[in-house]
Amino acid sequence: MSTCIIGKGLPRVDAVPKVTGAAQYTVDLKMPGLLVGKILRSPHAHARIKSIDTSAAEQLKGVLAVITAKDVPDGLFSFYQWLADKNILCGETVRYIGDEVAAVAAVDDDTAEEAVSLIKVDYELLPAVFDVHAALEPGAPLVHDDKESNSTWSVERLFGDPDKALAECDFVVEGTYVTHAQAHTCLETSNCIAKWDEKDRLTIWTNAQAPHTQRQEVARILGIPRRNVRVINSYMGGGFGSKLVMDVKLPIASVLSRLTGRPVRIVNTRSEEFTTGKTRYPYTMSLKTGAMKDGRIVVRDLTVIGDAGAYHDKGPATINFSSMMFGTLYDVPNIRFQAQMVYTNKEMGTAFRGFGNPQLTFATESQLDELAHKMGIDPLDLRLRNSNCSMGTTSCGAEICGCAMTECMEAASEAIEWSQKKARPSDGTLRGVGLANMVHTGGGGRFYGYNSAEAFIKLSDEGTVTLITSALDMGQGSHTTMAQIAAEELGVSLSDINVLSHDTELTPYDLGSWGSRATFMDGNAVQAAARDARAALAEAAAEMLEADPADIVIEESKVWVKGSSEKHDLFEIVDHAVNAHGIPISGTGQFVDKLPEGYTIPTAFAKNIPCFSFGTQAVEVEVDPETGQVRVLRVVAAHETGTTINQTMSEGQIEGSIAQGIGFALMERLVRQEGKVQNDRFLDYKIPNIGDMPEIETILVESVGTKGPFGAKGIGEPGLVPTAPAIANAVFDAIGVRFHELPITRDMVLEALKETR
Amino acid sequence: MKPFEYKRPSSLEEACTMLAAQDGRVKALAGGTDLLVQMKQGGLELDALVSLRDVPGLDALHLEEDGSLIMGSATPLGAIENSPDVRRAFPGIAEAASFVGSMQVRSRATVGGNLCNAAPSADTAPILIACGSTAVITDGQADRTVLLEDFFSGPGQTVLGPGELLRAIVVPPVPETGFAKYCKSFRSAMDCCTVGVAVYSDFVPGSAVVRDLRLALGAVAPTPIRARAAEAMLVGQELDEALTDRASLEAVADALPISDLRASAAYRKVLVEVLSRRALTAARAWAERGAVA
Repeated sequence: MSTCIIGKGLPRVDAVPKVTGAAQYTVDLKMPGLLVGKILRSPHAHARIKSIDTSAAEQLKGVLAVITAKDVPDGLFSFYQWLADKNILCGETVRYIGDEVAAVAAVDDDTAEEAVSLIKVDYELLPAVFDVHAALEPGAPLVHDDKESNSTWSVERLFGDPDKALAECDFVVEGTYVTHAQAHTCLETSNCIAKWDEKDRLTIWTNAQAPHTQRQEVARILGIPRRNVRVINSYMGGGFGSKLVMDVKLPIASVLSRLTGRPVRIVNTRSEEFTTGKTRYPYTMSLKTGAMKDGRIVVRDLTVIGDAGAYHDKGPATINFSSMMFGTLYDVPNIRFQAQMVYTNKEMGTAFRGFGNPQLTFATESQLDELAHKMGIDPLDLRLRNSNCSMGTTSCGAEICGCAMTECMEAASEAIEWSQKKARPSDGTLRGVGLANMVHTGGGGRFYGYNSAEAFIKLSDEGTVTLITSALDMGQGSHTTMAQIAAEELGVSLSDINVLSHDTELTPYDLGSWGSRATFMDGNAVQAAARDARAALAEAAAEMLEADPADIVIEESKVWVKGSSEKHDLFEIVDHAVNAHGIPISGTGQFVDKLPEGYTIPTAFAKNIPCFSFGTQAVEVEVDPETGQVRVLRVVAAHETGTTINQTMSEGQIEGSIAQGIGFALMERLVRQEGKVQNDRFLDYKIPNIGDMPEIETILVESVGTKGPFGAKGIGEPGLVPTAPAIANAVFDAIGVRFHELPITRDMVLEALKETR
Repeated sequence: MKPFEYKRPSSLEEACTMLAAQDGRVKALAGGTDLLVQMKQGGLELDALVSLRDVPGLDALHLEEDGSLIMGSATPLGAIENSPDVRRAFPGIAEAASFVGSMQVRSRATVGGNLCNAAPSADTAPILIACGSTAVITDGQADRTVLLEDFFSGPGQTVLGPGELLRAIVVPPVPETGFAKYCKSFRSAMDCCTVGVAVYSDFVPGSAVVRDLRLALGAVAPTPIRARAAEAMLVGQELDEALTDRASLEAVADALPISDLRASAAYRKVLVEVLSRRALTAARAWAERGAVA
């Protein structure tokens, strides 16, 4: 098929409103009677609440409601309800510095802030635990005293016979790798407005990555019918996973709105975002990799201790996902994955771009270089010998189709001139080159026991195509992707398409924008809807032009009969169909990602992934031997897109991912003392900015065999997954020091250099 | 944020009168890039802000006939960074100004604000101290001057009394035999300074013999300081590699760094040595290239 729109680097459909400031975010919304909600948070990492006195706050002029645990439903919440462990407001115990204790609604910010400061809470301090290893010690303080231990969740996966393989293989490398708490740092902080109407229905305006599941979550925790909750999304200033699971500010605002009869808005301050907005889960990973003399990797054995923070949230799901990726990158016959999540008295983790995979890949891809070094094999060569390939089922049961891993490695290594790297001029600077591979989902997952999407399209007589999809645009550009898919399939111009995705009342049920899922899942539904609408249009055109529907050509909003030179405006046809014959033109489309035979949630493992995406990043770094500063000079990122839908946005997703990956590798880290975050602002929590960014060359590797729309797969997360190990491998190449812990900071490098001298 | 009064005087005299009132719970507002952040996030509570935007003459930026540089205290750092005069006659100062924040910040932030905020890490302080600059302070009636190195009295504190305002900075001319440079270490681009080292060196013509030298350190003590022991080691001597190394090590002894989120004290000491060596090496290279007339 000739593609007019797919693959082009067309401007985003939301570019103009964003650049001109017309785009409305939740904080921009105005509504009559809107109140400001603020949350009183625990100053202690672990304490019993003895009493709360809200009288002074209640008496303050301009305060309309003050609530504590007794005013909210006392059920517990978590992403998996059967693991529920979090109160809306803490009644008895606070478990981290930032835990929600009380909330107020007032006429303005200053009043709300003052009211919060007037609430007196009497705490009895309890012993707290901040480190996962300490939390696992016998007799350690229990973060949740109704549980037997702080170990909250464990997973064990076994394929083949790892012990035998470790005993029999020619080379084994082992090591422990540690990653840290990274913050999402969305430009727009977490927020919401809640409002009840006269029919007892609750509407929430927020920035959710998954409005439908958050709607269910709000109903669940408030104990009200799901049909009474509506979630409306505004424009979003970033998600990265932080806005996937409901935050308790949604039910808090809902209760405040209920009591006051007015809409209530709660917006995280930047400090709240850093200290309570949830983080990437820190992992401690003990890993063994074994190989034969010929370079075949025959065994990998990993034990993970994940730091959950004070509550479960996405911890169990994150660990599970890590296990799936661990067994899939390279086809290794003997695999053991053992992991547990551990409660500590800290801000909890949640979903974060890469979902447990960047941590894991730091360990596995760092260790692969160590193995290559030990075996005397070139690290690229070792990887090529173990490359995944298409149309196979791995030892762990992952079905790989449309795989271009070898092509990615070849493209990235060629661009970085890998074969020349040993011949680099030595001009006194310490330069090094390293690479790392990755695998990730390119189409969400079947973790809910299903994976499906739906979309609607209607063509209006006045000349617009309205596309109703659940592909939430949190900044990643899915509105543009969906519009391109619809425009291509339908034969209209991109500018004719208006995308609606923001309102649960309007959009079909959907699991949300996560797991690099929207392009693959919603894109397929959109393509099906467009195909359906095109058929209706062709039929109407055929009748009007007295031709066979099969002979109708529709391209770039023009319609004609094959062979005829007379072209009609597409919307004339629609106008005629609607207004002369009363035939509306519309389409619906569904995509159901069929579960493999014998699928059950507990045993599915890598069969949960409908589509894998592979990639390779090669980086060049320079190390300042006097200050220890690592500077990334260049990144070549070769990633599979299946079929590229939008060249510019795909490159943008990869570049943005690399920025976050560089931050993860070299500078970002929440620093805590006794559980208190010390760097709750951008002055002290450094993320890479334009001056830190290297030259990036993105290579979009197309591959065939993927079941995505036009053969596309998701590209939202993969770019972050291999960046940190590629940098660590390049640093090793530059200075001969292997770092097993992130971030690799200046003083760590300097210390290591001193030791080697 | 607590409510406060916003005042907009139109003369120096009026501004100083306003600054003298309200028991010190008042501050002058120039670019606001530090002050407003402190009020919004840092818990700084004031009764009034006195805006300097209508006070004439505070954004002066010109070279005097003798070659000295006059910078009004409300001159934006961006204007200093981009001034052809400053870039030609005082490239080290233009460069130091360019190290502050982002382009947007430098369009608002002023040199007077950078100095009066009195952060030990202020990027403009070491180079201006090294160049022997003077602070011109007014009470609205008369001026008094102090050497910039004596302007700071502690973190966030200066010698400005109630009702006093920093009016201008005067930088003496750099002779043709003089060289000035600022070296900064930061964790990432657009970052607050971890350690800053500035050198000013005047050489005996045709040689690398140091006639006069000032070495100023930022972010390693409660205020920006001079590394006097290192300076003493260098003046009158020929600046060779061995002396550069010894003096750089000596500069570490002058520093009293603390550990904070940006770096440990031990790491800051390493940076003092490294940056001092780099600054002195640049000066030596400049002298040896025959840049001295």
